[in-house]
Amino acid sequence: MTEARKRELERTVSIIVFVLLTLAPIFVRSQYPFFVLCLAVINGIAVMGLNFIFGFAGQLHMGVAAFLGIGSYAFSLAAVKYGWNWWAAAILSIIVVGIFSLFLGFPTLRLKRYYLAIMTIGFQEITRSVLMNWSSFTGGVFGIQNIPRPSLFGLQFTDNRLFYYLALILSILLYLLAIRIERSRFGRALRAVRDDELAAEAMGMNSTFLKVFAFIWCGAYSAVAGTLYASFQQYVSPELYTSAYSFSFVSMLVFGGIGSVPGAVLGATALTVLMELLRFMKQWYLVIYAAAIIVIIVYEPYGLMGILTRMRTKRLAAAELSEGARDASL
Amino acid sequence: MNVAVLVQQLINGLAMGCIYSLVALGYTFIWNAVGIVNLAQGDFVTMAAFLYAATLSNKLGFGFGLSLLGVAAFMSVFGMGAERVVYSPLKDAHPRAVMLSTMALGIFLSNLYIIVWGPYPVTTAGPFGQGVIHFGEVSILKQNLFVIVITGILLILQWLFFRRTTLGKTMRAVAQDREAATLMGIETHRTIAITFANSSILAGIAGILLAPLFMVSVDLGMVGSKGFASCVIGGFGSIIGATVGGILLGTIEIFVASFLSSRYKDAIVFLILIFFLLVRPQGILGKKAGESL
Amino acid sequence: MGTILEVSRVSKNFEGVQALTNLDLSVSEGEIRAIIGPNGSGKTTLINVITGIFPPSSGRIIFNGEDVTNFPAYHRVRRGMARTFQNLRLFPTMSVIEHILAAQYIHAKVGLFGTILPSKEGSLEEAQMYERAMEILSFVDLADRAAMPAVSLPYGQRRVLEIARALAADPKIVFLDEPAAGLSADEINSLEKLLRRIQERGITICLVEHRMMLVMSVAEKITVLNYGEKIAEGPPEKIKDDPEVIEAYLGRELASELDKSGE
Repeated sequence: MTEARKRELERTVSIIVFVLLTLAPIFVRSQYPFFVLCLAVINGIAVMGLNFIFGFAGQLHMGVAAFLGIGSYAFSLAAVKYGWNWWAAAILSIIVVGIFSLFLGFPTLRLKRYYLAIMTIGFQEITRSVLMNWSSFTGGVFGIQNIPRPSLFGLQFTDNRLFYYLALILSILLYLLAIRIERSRFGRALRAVRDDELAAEAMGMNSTFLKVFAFIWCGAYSAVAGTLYASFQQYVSPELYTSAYSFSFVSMLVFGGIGSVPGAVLGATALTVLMELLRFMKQWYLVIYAAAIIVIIVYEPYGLMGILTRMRTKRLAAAELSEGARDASL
Repeated sequence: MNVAVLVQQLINGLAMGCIYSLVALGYTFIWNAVGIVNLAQGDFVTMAAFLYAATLSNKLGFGFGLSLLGVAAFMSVFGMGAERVVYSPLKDAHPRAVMLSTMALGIFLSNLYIIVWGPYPVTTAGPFGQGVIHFGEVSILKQNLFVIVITGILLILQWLFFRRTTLGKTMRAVAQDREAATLMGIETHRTIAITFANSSILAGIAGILLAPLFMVSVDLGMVGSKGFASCVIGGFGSIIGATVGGILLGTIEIFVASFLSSRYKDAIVFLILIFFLLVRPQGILGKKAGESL
Repeated sequence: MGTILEVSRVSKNFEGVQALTNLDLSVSEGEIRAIIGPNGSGKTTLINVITGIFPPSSGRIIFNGEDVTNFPAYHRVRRGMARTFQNLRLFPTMSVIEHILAAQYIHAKVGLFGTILPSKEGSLEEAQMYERAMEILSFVDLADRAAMPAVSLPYGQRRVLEIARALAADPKIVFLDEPAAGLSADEINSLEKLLRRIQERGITICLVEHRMMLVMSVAEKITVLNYGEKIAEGPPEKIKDDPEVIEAYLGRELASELDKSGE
């Protein structure tokens, strides 16, 4: 499939997804399903972030929830405990997570292979423990309450629906940003590092810099997701940021299409909704879910976008063939 | 500082360390053979602990010996099954894909045992119950001594197995150079399956030894992460490293819990892991930075 | 024509295995130099040390008058070194033209914000990169394959793509590690013509090679290695008849047999 066709497919998928998300609140009335919808958008932002480091750069990241949690807490502490302006607190959360990403990412990503995965597994545990135990600062098990909603030019986003559209607009902007990064020379360089780090270095790329670059972007997106999450629910607590949540982000990306920005949004939306629909199945749902992920990894490593791409390629090829047959018969 | 208390904690730490070593060895054998990390190893341990505590010991009243056989048999079959499902179909794909699969397998298992054995923690007495042995002022849980002894025996058995038996040598050959092994007529696939079985049995024994000491619940999966940390600290890929790393981690953990803070015990353990990653990624006994993993 | 590369008393030891011993090498600008030697003589190790894949145990590498011995590999590329790999390291998920585009990363001038946010300089530079990529692909006769996945190319064209990717970095010197491996006689002829075209562009070529027909016809000077040491150096005619070289390749007994019979 050529570059132009690939972009066409991506554009189609993303437009469909975002239009659905824009129209959805009209059909969704009650509070709980609406919460799921908002969560889908927020998860989409986090998964787009994960896509930078795992999809583009090919480095396994098992701790997105931890960084999201740090973003949530940084924002909440600034906004609630220290009375910061919403937007200032949001920017602070991005800076804080960015700093963590830089200082943890640089020494780890300097090394080859799976060191990031190990570090993030360990970091996830540390974060959970600190958030839970440092009660004087983080509020411990009880977390932080009364987290404010934003206001812009006098408009208060207290209404859930209004907040939802704010999150959606942010999500669309971040989507466009991610696409631009993907298509830039940085995106190409990241893919080179992912495909063959040694060859990339032999082409003059500083692979450590590029990996850390991707990791920081991931952190920034996670921070935004964390801020929105905290502000939407208006409370945070340590139990929300678990390794299971981290894994769910990875599975959303794998399901939607690893390496694909629309795939990230697609996967996040689909699985968030699916997860809530199947929640009544409790344990069985997670068992089936995990099994399904294994099946996807084995049979369809490029997830939904992979399936769609294949279908489109077949349809294009079939069209060309029939045209050729028509020309031949003339 | 009471010397008796010090000795007691040392033994406790050593016992915990032995369990970590067993788990760490499980990771190491699979890593050496196929170059992936089995992220579900901790859940293997938990599953075995549940199997022993809830079914074999409490329900069926099996003693330790019988339970050991039961768990070993079950885990070896399970391990080979896992290899078939999670590794085999992906062996030509990127190792990342396999590791993701093992992660999914871990989630699968950790929810499966809630379905099978219920959501509540299970306790079992084990071969010694709460029995304590006294050496003067020093009191040591018999189970802890038992753990140390069994681990010691296991390590010797594993060493003999790998050095003296044909099967063991075959497994080492495959671990060192799979292509050469295939060229020499070794059935690498079968050998890899047996490696998985071996690692699973080690996880199983770790589970049985753990069960009497702690409440068996999903939280036991932490042992997996700590066993993994032991590998990194000791030197990934090194069998001696895994053993040393495990014992070190167990001992450090107990001392941190007793003298520093028991609330942050886990966080500190993982901080040590991250410290090693940042400063000495090859671990204590590893060769070159960033090359072994 | 000055010296572009100076390898000075370079040794490399790998945990007890002495791969290179006190090697001296001097390459003139614009030259086509071949490095030959039997298997295991250290040719690829030498290239790896020069290009920075690993550091030498002792000795210096002076490139364009600059001591690059402690530079990481990617830094040397920015200084003008490029290389290909013996075992072809193409990118499995990229198309032909994407390889060339990616390689231009280091020479891009527009910074992060210019590339990510829509800007005139950014778009202009992207367009220029595309143009340059197509120019390089035309230079190596792969222009009609631009959109194809690199892995779908036949073997000979994949080798050419690897060379094109090295050229895209705008190097002053390229190190080609066995570019003719597995090529047919026809393909070697095309390769020879390509090498001459590269030389015409002012790029110095240093090739490690086993296929003697290519070496003899294209190299201006040959350096011969054996067991990590330089045993001979000179123009092809001189190397061809050098007894030590013959002995290194054929072994002492066979060489003396040849000597006795072929006089």
